[in-house]
Amino acid sequence: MTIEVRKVESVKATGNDA
Amino acid sequence: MTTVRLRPLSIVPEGEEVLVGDPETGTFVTIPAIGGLVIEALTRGATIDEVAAEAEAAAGQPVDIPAFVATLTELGFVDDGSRPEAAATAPIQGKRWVAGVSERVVRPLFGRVAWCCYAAIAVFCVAVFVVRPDLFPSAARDAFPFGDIGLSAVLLVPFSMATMALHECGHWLAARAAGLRARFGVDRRMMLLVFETDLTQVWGVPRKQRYSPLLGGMAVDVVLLGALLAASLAVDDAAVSAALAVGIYLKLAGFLWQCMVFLRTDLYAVMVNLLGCHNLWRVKTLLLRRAFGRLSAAETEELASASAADRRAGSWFRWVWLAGFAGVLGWFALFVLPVVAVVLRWAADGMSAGPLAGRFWYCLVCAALLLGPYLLAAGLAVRERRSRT
Repeated sequence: MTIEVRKVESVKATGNDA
Repeated sequence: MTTVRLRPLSIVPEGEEVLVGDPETGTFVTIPAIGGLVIEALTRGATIDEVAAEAEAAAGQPVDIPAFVATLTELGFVDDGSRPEAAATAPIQGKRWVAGVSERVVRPLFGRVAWCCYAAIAVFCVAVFVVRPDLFPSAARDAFPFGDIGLSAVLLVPFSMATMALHECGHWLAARAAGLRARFGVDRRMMLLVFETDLTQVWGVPRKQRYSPLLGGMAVDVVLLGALLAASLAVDDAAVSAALAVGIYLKLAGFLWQCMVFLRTDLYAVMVNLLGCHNLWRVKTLLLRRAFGRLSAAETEELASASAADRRAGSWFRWVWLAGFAGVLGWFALFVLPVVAVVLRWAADGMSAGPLAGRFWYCLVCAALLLGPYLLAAGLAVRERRSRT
């Protein structure tokens, strides 16, 4: 069997009050 | 007798899978549990043959170790002696992960007791609005509170920038308390410019420990709002009250912003963690494209390999995203553009005296403060479009 790899997204924290 | 030297990787069990990553490059992936076993064996210094035997015993069938090592090499997880660099996640971004303060110093600020205090302050804020509804902001009264557009710009924009910076510091300090590092940047959400903290390293700690860094920014917001409300209750000077009302208005607008998960806000990251997703943003895009019949062959394949949790959440989140996107466009057209027009007219009036008059420069600076963020966001969007084609 082959080992499948899944991508994980980056984590972006933001602030805004517009 | 080949062995493979791996970089210092974080390994976190995540349901039936394992979340593996290199905190230094910010690259994280999920793999089946057998992959975690292989990585642990390689880290121990076992040879490829030994690892293959161990993996076969655990999986009950032969496991292709050379192919997996090739994948690990592609991901940059194999130590080749070079110093790895993290790929940018924002158009304007510091390259370096910032430590800056020691874990021990900030840990009390984000421990169990501290979070109970932040929750208590949040309850206090809600209670104040219930008892004193007059303190709840009204856009008409508080958006341009100082009568003059210029004065509002000079006072509001710096205050707003400062509290946004404090919010990002909240994320960073909470990340430090969890033993992680963060990096800072500037990004855009549709037509809005935002400060952004890259918290990707949270994938390197167990699921429950991720909430503190993700909510650290809003903890700062809650403390600020609590302080503003407490001050409002204490003072009866009209001018001071008006200034405090503006602060309250900005803070509440910030909480409203965080609720817009379709803009990839802090609460979006919290939602992803709650749902057990790992790649929802991309899977949402793929599912939306499929709904409109615009999926390429490569994308079809990519979607087929997505996790069940991502596909399940993506099937409804795509519509939340689409509705939110349309909603923000409508809000911008109905509420922001008219204000932009007013500001431009005001600036043009003031600047008609020519550059020898002081008012010319005052109006120019004020207009730049108010409209600069939109211009910069537009510039970033143009740059993205260019780099894509």
